Amino acid sequence: MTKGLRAAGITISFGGIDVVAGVDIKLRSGEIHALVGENGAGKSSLAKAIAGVYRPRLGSLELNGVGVKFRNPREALDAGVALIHQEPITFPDLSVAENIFAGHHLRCGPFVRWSATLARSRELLESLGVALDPASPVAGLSVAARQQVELASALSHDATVWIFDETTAPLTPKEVAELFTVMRRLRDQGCALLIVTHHLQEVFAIADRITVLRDGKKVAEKTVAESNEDEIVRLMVGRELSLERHEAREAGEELLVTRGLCGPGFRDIDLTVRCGEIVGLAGLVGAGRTELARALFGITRPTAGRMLLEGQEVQVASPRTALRLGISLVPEDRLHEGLLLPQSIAVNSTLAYLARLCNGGWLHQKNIHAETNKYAARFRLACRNTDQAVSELSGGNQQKVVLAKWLMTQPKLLILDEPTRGVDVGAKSEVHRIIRELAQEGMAVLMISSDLPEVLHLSDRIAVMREGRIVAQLNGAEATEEQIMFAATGQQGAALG
Amino acid sequence: MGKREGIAFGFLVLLSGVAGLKEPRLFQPQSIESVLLWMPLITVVAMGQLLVILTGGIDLSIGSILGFSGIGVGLVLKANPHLPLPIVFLAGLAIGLALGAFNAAVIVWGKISPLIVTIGTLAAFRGLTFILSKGDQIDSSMIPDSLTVLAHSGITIAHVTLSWLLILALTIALITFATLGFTTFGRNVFALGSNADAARLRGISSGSVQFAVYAICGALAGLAGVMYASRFGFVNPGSAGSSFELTVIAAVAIGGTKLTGGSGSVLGVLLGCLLLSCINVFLSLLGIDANYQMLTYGLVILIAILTDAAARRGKA
Amino acid sequence: MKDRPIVPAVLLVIGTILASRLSPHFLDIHYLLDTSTLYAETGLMALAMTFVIISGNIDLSVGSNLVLTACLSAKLLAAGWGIPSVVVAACLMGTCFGAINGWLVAKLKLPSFLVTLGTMAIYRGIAQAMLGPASVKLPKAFTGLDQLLWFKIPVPFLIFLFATLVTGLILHRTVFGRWVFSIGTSERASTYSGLPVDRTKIIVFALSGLMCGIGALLIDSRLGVARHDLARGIELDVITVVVVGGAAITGGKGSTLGTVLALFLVMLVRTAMGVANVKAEYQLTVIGGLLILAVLAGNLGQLFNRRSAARR
Repeated sequence: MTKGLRAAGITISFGGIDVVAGVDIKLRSGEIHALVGENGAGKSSLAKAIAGVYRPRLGSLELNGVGVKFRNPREALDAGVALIHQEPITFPDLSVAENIFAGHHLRCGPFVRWSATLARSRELLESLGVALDPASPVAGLSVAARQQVELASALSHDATVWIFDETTAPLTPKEVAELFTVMRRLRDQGCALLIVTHHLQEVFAIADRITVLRDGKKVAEKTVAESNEDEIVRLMVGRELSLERHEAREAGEELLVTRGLCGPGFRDIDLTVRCGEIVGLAGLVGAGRTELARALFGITRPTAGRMLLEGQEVQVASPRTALRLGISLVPEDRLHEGLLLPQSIAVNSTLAYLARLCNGGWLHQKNIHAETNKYAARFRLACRNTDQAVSELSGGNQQKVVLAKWLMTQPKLLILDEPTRGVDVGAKSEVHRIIRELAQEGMAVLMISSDLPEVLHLSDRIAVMREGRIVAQLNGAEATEEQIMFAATGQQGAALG
Repeated sequence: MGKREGIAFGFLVLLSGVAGLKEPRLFQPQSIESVLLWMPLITVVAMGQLLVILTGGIDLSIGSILGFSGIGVGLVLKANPHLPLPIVFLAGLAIGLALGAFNAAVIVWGKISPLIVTIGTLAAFRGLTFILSKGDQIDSSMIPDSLTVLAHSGITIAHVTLSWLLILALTIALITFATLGFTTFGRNVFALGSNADAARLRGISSGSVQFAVYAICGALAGLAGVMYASRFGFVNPGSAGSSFELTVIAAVAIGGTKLTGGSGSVLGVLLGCLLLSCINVFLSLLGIDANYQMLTYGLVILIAILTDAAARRGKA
Repeated sequence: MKDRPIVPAVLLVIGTILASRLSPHFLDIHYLLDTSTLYAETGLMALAMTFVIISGNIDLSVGSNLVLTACLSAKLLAAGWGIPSVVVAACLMGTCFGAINGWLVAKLKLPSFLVTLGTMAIYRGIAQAMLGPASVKLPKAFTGLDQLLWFKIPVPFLIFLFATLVTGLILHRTVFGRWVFSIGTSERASTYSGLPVDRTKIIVFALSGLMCGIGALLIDSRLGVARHDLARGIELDVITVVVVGGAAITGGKGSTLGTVLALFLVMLVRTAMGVANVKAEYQLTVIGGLLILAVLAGNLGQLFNRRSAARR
């Protein structure tokens, strides 16, 4: 019986789909364990299940040889299992010291021991090697500093098992180095650490042991000494080269051109999308792809650079302008941004086109149903009828409704953000068929996807983003998964096209 | 004193300056006393409302709770004119606590927005007040002099009398200050209003914090009912505390309390209460009749939410 | 939108049966029509409040808007304006006061209950500052609209019926109505679908203001005098009617039919209490309780639905 945390046979299900299936993982004290895998491989879900955020459907946890069950994150924390979030969850109005001790104040009866709180906070921050004033407010602190506050809070709970969920993604290289120093210190003090990441460089810089997940299953556990980056990339991707390649298409006129476009989360974007062309936008989560899509669609405003549509310079002030210009976005967060869940298929699919579908502002039920039925048939939508609420549909069918909503508006440019996330295999190939058909008909398609086979399968060209910039543009017919992965993670040997 | 409290302070200085120039009588002890006569009621109720707003909620029913408690205590006094004063105050507190707990129960267990619940009880409690009083006013004959004298006598410092009611109100403000600043409950109030999700992650029970703040807010409004009887010497079931929620919310808002919760201070709210008391007195001193009161409260609330919005924009 | 207002309909039937046992007047159509003139303003404002609440907002300032417009209109008439121009002016003023609320809510992203709490005090405050304790008498030619019958139906009730038809059609049969529901269901998804979210909100609040304007003319005509303390607490009745009518306070749900049924219910309850000699002040308890019970019932119903959905 070793010290640390052992998870056995963990299975986590969302809506009947197992996102993590029967994974065993052992976090030994005095060791940094890296959990790697492609986007959607189930890394974060596993980490959150260990920290009590999700309750696994099957499986058991053992802490220092004793069986445990966490009903919520607070119980995990009380047992010494701390989760450090990518975007730290803090109280912006309260001070650093109070953020550290909120929920378990140092107290004397009903009273907070402020001087002890401040002193103890200072100690905790110092032991992390962090120069933060415990009395300063948290609002206005950088992400890195707020992470440090979260670290100190975990430390105040005497955490012995630390889970870092993609914590390095929003940090600068210098901040990452500082975080690593803290991690090493924790390890040397005998803590067990789990880091969830897809930055392999980091894994090899800090971890002792690596577990690779693919499609919710554990495919390998290696020590850093016995492995190398190439092997891990291959294990993560884990497929033979995709058999299906896209059919070559004639690309038409340039439809969308950006020159030096900058905005929140992305910089210096030079991107061209032609009519009848599918451009894949690959990269890791947090690389700035969604942010770019949101700016192109007018949700946020670019701060610099130019955007041309059919050779005309345009400014997309709002999604409404985008709609008028013929730009549409199928958003990543389908449930909150794409759909009105309690409303019907007919209501949802005609939402953007309604004003044009209904002359004079009167709802024309016949037109609405005719148009909805047309797309339902074309997309082979599985539903009782078009008055069914979209909340009752499967993920794939919901996505078809979102697609129908935008295609009705006959857009020139279709931006898709993770179009097949949470979509079952059958519906996925349907969505792929639809996307291909649209390009064939001459639509310009910009597709953000973390699913590499999907990117390779559909794209004529592939742009890879890292840290807010486009770092590689690859030919869709010649690119390989490894090439994309190398460019996205910033590895040596990336073939920059 | 932070930036947010500064707004109330700035207004206070500005107002005194402008009014003082036009009417030098303003700085005489009498005017200061009449300002201080207004303070206790607003202050006590504002402390409860501050707690509620800090958690990100609102309580519109406070005026009706005040009225109900005033009538209730008046009826108790009518039956037992020689009841010791501490019991009288405790009775008001208890009546308010019961009504506040009703609000709290419906909000927490019924999972209904505080706005709708307290709009409903704003009316319902007022109706109950009429039922309780059978529509009759509690006259000065029913309120013992030992109670009314508290509003006018007290400790005199430099020709200005600080009434016992004011001292009571300031004591409550002090207790609120200590509770908010130095107890785990007080800190949980801030935490809940600052980020409810984070509070949940840290194991802070939002239900019990919410329950407590609405119950306390009711209790303080109940206490204010007794103070109302003391200050005015009568309690009318229709007018006692009517529209008082506007005054109090205006005081809390202009005192720099973040209206979406999580930030605010007792000092700021005290300044806000002082500002509104001054407005009341200055209006009458300047010969502007009481008809401008409602408009002033509205403008104060509007100014407060506009500065709140500007502060949010500045940060974003 | 397929939610049928079953609860208010059932309550209305039960209420009618109970009330008719209390007094046979309740089955007398003339008595009912006569009573209806007292609730025309409440009804008009509730029709618009249905839009406001479905869009996920609330308008606490309706009573104050009504009073301010009523006082201003009375002053204009006293100053010698003609009736047609005052009618137009009242509608414009009400709409304008409503649009100010809408603008603050939409453009400054302030919570609607805070904005309208502020303007509630401001609008009534202006009326009070303007008139003080005085009342403005309205010219004879303007008063008595409630006594005017058209095919034996009082004109205010006809106006209400007409407004019901128009707002019902707008809410349930037009693109704009669809947008109101969409924004209340999910403002974010509506923005992402390119809907004019801000404009819709402003129009919804302006509509609420317009109804206050029309209501102001009705109340002026019925009472013959305008004072700053008219229609106190009317916002409670308006909000209660809309919520009892099945509109979800969180937005996205509600119907004109539900509001109309609930209006009749509240009218019935109030009138029955009046017949039973329950004082107006006492009635507040019942109306306030009704509001809370309606939301409680809605929440419990939702909980039940979710449970049964989970079992499926």
